[in-house]
Amino acid sequence: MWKFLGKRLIQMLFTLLLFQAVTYFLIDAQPGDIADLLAHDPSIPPGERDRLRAELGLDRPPVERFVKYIGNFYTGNLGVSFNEYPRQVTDIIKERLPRTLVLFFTASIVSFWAGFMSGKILAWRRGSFVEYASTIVGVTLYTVFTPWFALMMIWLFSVQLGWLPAGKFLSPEVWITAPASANAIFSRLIGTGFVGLTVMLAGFIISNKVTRKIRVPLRVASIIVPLSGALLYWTLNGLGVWGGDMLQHLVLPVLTVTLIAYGGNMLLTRTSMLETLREDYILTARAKGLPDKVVRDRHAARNALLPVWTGLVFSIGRSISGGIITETIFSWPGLGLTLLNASLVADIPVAMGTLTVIAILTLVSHLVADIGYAFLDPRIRY
Amino acid sequence: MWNKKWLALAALIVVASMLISACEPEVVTVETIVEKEVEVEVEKVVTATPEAAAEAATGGEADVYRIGIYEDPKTLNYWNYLGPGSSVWTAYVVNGYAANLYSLSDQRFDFVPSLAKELVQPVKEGDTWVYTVPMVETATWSDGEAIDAYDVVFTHNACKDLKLTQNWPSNCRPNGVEGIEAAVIDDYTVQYIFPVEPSLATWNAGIALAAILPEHFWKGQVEEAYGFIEGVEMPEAERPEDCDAEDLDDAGKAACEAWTVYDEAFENARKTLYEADPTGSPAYGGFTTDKFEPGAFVQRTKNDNYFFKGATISEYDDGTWMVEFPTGETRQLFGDASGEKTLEYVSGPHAPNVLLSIYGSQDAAFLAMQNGEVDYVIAPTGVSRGLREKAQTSGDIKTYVNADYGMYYVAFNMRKSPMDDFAFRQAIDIIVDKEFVVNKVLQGTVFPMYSTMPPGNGYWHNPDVPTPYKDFTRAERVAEAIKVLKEAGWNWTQEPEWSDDQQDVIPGEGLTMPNGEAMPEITILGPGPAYDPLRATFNQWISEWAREMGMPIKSELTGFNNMLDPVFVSADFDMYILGWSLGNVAFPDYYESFWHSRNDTATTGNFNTPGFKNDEYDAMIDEFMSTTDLDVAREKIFAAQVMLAEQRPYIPLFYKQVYDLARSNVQFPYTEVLGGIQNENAMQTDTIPLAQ
Repeated sequence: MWKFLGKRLIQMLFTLLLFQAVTYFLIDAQPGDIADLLAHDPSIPPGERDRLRAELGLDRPPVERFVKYIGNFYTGNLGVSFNEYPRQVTDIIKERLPRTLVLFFTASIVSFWAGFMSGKILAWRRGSFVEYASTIVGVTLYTVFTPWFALMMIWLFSVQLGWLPAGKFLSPEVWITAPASANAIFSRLIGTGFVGLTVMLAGFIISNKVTRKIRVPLRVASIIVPLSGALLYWTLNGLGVWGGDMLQHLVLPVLTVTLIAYGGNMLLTRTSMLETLREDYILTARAKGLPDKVVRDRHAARNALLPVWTGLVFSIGRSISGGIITETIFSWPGLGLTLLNASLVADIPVAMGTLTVIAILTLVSHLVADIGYAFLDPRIRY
Repeated sequence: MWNKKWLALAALIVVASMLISACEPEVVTVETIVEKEVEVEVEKVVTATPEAAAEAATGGEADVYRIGIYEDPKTLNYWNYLGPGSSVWTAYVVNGYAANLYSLSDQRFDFVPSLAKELVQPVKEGDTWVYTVPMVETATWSDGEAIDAYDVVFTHNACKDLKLTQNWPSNCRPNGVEGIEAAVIDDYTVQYIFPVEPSLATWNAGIALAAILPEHFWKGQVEEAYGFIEGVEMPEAERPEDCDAEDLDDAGKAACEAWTVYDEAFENARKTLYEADPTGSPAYGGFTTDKFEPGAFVQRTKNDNYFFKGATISEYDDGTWMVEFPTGETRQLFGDASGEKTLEYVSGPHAPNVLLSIYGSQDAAFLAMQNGEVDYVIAPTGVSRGLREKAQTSGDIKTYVNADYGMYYVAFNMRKSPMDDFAFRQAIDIIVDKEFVVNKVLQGTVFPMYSTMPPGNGYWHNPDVPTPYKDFTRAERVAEAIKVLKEAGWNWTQEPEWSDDQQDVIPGEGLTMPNGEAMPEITILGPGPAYDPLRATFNQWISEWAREMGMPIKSELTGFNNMLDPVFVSADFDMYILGWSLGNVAFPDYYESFWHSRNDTATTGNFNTPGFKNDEYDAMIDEFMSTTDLDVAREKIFAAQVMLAEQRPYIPLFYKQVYDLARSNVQFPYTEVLGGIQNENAMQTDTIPLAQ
């Protein structure tokens, strides 16, 4: 396993380097550069465009610039943004990556869980009205045009019903009096969520090891305790209003992304389950007289999980690039929106930084998927 | 079986309902277009009356004035804002941070005193020209510190000594004039010493409008920046053209090294200042920026120390401009206030806070306004017709229409044949039926333009620019273009002709230039319909009409970025269609940038993209740039408009209107202004948001 990991890490490093080279030269080959855009104003004196180009290093040959960029990158210096000069690219990524990850990680987990659970049940109840209806809903959600769907969600939940904010990740009027920055409070929210989920997960894992008598109370407790703890924490720290405001803003984009991702997860699980249910070992399990739930959950669903797991892990890697549309429509200032804006104005350092984050997430996702296979399927060994 | 039928039916219903919901609003809004457009025209003048302003000021004002913008400001540091952090969005956020000795008046853009007590004239002293400017003694920054002559000199010197970049040069070395000195005479008197005779370009549109920043706040950061250039001397050797050249000798290499050290010192100095922390920086104007949540909002708070707070600003139709301060002090210029009052408002700030909410897109911002989340959305790129109609359906949103200070044009590369042929450019001008495209194709959404000065800028627009083909019919245009080309020696194997039967042109063939060669294929570069449908439409019509004349001209619609290099860097194009936003209304120095031969793009990288070279024009514009007499300047610009209309390096095509949408609770000090409310001086400070 360690040997496998070592090999994979070296492969990943080479892949990343190749990716960076290709993307750097592609971005650089775009017509026009940021100096043309920033100095495209007759009131800016002659010569400023050249001076700006020299100051940003754009007067050097692309290969020389790339070598310098890579040298800096692997020593932790991603450079300064051309468009938000002289802001560090690492600061921009640090500010926006968590927002994107929280949005898409939450949506991915929820849609994975909901899609997997409903997919396996629908496959088990094949031919029922619920299965047909759910399949249509799933196909609709899977194929729906994302911008239209997102706007419809805003129209329904915000404009018509007035239940949820139309966009952004906070309400400015609420935040005028906030004692801390949005990032500081958002970090606390992430911390709370992480601790809460860890406690819940630990509770559920432990509950599988104990007797049936205390299993249910333990599971209930592992939900109630972190939730109460989180509520208590946010009530006592005096930041609850702002944390709540952010959560409220998170609901609609998460719901939208979840619904879009849910269709794919549900359909994939259903199809995978239907194939698994035709296997001989399922017939054997039934012939042995095992209860339906055991056959479905322990024998069929675990084996049907592999492709769905792959989809989940890869979707996290794709979340940034895939989030451009969602982030634009919901005015969610994450890394997807940053990538879009940086690309439009040829802000090479920010575009490269963002694309590199996408590449790293994708490569790590593949690694995690491979490692996950070994846990999910005992036949796979590295 | 039944299940399948029901499912099929359900699926049909779902699909149908999706289609209906997607299509229905479009149908409905088309019905309302005309009504709303008419309403717009009627209700566009909502100039605040003194009574209304007074009433609003005594009660009913909202606590916060909420404005929607689309992008984060790049910086809150004013040094950076006039440098590399410049952007239209940043401007709204740092608005009012810098003070000025002079400014431009509301609506009319007259040159008027701000922190200067009065208008002053230069005095010749030896080889120099000196402006001595007395400053008001009661103006303070938002933190209560006095704004004095030391601030003026401090900012001027920092700009000059640190060689600040981008927009800064026009603040301390306008129009390329080096060596302008500033000196403190006493706390409230500042002197500017010019090494050459100052002009409207260098004084009225340059130094007099320069930014002034508080020395007591920025002194430390500026001194730190000075630290990088201390002891750094400009290398004596000339800067080698190419430091990477392989045949560079030792002296050249030494010169390159010396220049690198010099450049790096200034670069580090500037970087230090541009990245200095602006937190707590005091402001001069109506608001200070107190909080910025990236990606979310900017909060600005009222500056009760604003010098003009509570002052009544009036303008009269005899040209009078007047300010009456709450203390009873009065400033009056350009007349005796004997005419009709055309403007009156009480200067703010009125709202305790301005909240600039940042939205990811125009759609999101206008949806928020429709939802009542913001009072006004700043839309510098214009508001699409669809959004205007949608926003107006809420019934609580008003639309204000103003002329844009911009120009959309087709340009010729006069360095190449046949664009260097006067007759060819004239023929293109004749066949381009602007009125047809504007009125019939674009349905009057824009206006045909004949002069290089938009008519909205009444002071500088020459209404007598000849428009000989304006009312020509299609047949007359074709006949006239044939005549012009033939007289210049152009020929066809088959001449184009107008067919009365077909009511169309029978296309010409085999067009040859005066030298007997066949006309080469020509491309009109232009933005595609996704970027700008108006320019794309014009592009296609022009190439279509040219083809009817037998000219092998084709449209090439592309992205704006793709046009930057061929048009503005290498000048390697035939013809192109683009537009300009024209900047300073009070002093149109773009006549120098766009058409003076010293700004030829091919040789200097500047903005004379057509490569227009005309000695008479150059002399005229040199005089315009160097005069101190406004009447002379105007006369020159009038003549320049006529010459450009004749010579046609550009053919102006159209100008737009600017649409501003705001909720009805917002009371702007005035709504009729060139460039729209979003360009108005008073858009934040003097606007009164009423409680809803």
